[in-house]
Amino acid sequence: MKAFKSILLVLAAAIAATSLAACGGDNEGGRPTGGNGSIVIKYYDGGYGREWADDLASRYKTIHPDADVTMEADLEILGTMTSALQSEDPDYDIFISHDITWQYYALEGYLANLDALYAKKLSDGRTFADALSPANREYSKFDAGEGEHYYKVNWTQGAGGLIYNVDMFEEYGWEVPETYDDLKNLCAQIVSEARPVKGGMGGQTVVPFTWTNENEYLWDYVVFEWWAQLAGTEKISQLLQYDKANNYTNGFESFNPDTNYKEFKQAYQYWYDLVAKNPNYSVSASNAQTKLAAQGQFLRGEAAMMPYSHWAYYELKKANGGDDIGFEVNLMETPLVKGTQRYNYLVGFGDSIVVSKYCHNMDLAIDFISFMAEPESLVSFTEKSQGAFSAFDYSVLPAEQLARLNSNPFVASVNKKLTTETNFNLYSNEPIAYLTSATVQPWLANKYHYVPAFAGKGTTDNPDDVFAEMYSTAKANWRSWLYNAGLV
Amino acid sequence: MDGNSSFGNERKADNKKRGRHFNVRTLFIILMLAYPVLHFLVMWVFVNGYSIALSFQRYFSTIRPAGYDKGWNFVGFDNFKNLFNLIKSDENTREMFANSLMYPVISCLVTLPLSIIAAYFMYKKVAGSSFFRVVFFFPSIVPLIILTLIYRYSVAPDGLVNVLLQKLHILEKGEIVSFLNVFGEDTAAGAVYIFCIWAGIGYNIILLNSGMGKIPQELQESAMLDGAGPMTELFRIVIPLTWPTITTMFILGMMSCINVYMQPKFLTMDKYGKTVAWMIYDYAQGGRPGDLGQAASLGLFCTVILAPTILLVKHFLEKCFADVDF
Repeated sequence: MKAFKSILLVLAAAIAATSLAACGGDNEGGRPTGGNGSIVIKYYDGGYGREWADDLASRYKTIHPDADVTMEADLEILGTMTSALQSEDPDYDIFISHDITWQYYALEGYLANLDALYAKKLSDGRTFADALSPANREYSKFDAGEGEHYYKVNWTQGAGGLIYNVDMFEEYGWEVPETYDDLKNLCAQIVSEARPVKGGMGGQTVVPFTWTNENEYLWDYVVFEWWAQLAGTEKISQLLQYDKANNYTNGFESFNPDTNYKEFKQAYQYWYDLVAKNPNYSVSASNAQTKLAAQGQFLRGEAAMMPYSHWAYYELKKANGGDDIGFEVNLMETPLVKGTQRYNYLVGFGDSIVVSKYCHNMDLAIDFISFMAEPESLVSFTEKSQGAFSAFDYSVLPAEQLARLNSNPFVASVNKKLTTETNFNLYSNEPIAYLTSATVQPWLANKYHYVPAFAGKGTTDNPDDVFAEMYSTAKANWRSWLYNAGLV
Repeated sequence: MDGNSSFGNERKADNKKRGRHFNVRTLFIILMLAYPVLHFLVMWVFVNGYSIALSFQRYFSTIRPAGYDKGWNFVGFDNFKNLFNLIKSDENTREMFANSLMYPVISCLVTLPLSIIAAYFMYKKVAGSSFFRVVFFFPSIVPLIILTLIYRYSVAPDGLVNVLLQKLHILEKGEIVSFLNVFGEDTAAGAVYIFCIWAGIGYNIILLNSGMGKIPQELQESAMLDGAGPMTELFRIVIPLTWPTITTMFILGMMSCINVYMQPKFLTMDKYGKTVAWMIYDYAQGGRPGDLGQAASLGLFCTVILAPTILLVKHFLEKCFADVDF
């Protein structure tokens, strides 16, 4: 009996202890590996896969056998980041993800000052800062009350727009469109030619586009570039300040469809006229189907083009069971609606690398991040992710390494957009954008209209109504949003 | 003398034994209670206390010559005023409340009555009830994320439901059952409600069957001898005798107004049918301090409205039928 009671007590204590242990930490068990000399990195488990991270860590360990570096992927990284950064004994030292509210974290003193990293010399003698483009450097600095310092590193630079089936274009003699009119004519041509889908049943013919409700935002990458062509990047940068000079009082005017948003509205009109008013240009279920279904249609040759981004090739291969997709895919230069100047919307410009103020080994963290900017790491990142480019300057790569990258036609097409077009972003460094949720975006409250406009076959969500509604919503709510951001 | 000494020693030994027993027993009780008490203090008292305090605070950051001035300010009821302004002027906020309010209606007035009928048929062991038991219970044993995935893929344009109906020529080629479309802006909310009914019935049936199983057999036999038909039996015997269970489920259904978020979030892939709980989840996940005070005030506002309403409904429901012990 006595022995039974002792066992019961031990068991009860163990259960209580393990239950309470489970409450602590955000990784269900504390720091994954290593001691105080190690660093643990948590990165977003997104469309770039994990191969690049495994390769990065393994190459670093080859050069520095004593370094203890662990990389851990997490799809829900944002949910646990704040509490992890608040800890003085963090489970993770470095975070790599999209949508990190790094300015707020810097204000609260959670982030390490990275000035030493930016001053660090790389193996070719350049400083880390030199390895980044001016825009990438500019948006990484912040004054958190102690003067301006670097608190983050931009992670990627990307490109989006329309991807197309090169083999299909060549086989049927379709020209890659240079202008919006060319694109319109091409769509009409594809529909009128009614090419049968190879292996398709019931007289199914190829349509210009397939896309998905699940990722309707991918159309943004086309529309934003038309917007930049029409408005120029200077005007866009200006409206992203939300009337800062006047204490943000009339920031809602950024959404005025007759002035600041005039060209954005016009860009949406181009999309509306092409896609929403011509439902036969898209797979009919585009407004209701999953991403996997749309990927399958593109892979089976049911559609010639698809709105996508630089992670397209990786995801299409994955959707194809990891096998080669069987035809050549390229990212198209967005057809021009005006002039000859092409603009590349930098997809993923706001993706960041930040370091906890209480990083267990700051020297190692700095050395590891600077290693990400070394030429071999750039090549590896792009090769492994099959289309993503890290935010560093690729022009320093030796010719043979650039050739190695460009041997993948899709990577080459992304690279072409990044290097030959004028890059721009829609990132705002104003408190209204980072202290409250995403109400202040090109599309208010991230409410897109591509799906309803397409579903309504061009009878609903027309540009006049959509932009008038956005403006009136911004006007009505502006004071509440300023209040939430602590600006009034 | 010797006898007294021996008695004293025995008492001492007995007390010592009792004392040790008391210590072990006390330790055991403390250990058993430590976790629930700690859990209550941390997860209820602290979390709710902190949340209530937060609903009266606001984050601010101001650029001053000396640098940033930032932190949390006590702002009285300003967060609530701001919330009312949003309700007045923001269509998305109003839509969020409307969506949330539909869940208790669906839960209490659709799912629950359907569950009672289904549970009654199973209780009566009508033909095929074993098969339907599996059909109804299936959604309750599968994790929600898997269940939403199955549903989403089944009702997708190229999913099982539409393809099957097309093959049976009930639908034209390319046509879909639009009211099941979780990706349609106008149809998503309805499709989510249908999912909630399908997924919720099984759980309700488990609880109701457990309540119905306790109804004495003699009562049924007596009712049959008196000539009571199935409807009379259901409404005059089964429902009154399982009323405490039904009341509990009605209350749980009402609470869905502030706790449903995963179903629309997973089914529509973060797109349509935002609810209060979803909004609060997004606010908390975003890591933006400007949202936290607003989220806390939203939560407190809903609690202040809902808690008395639930207590009132519970009070009236309990009055419907006398509580019977059997």
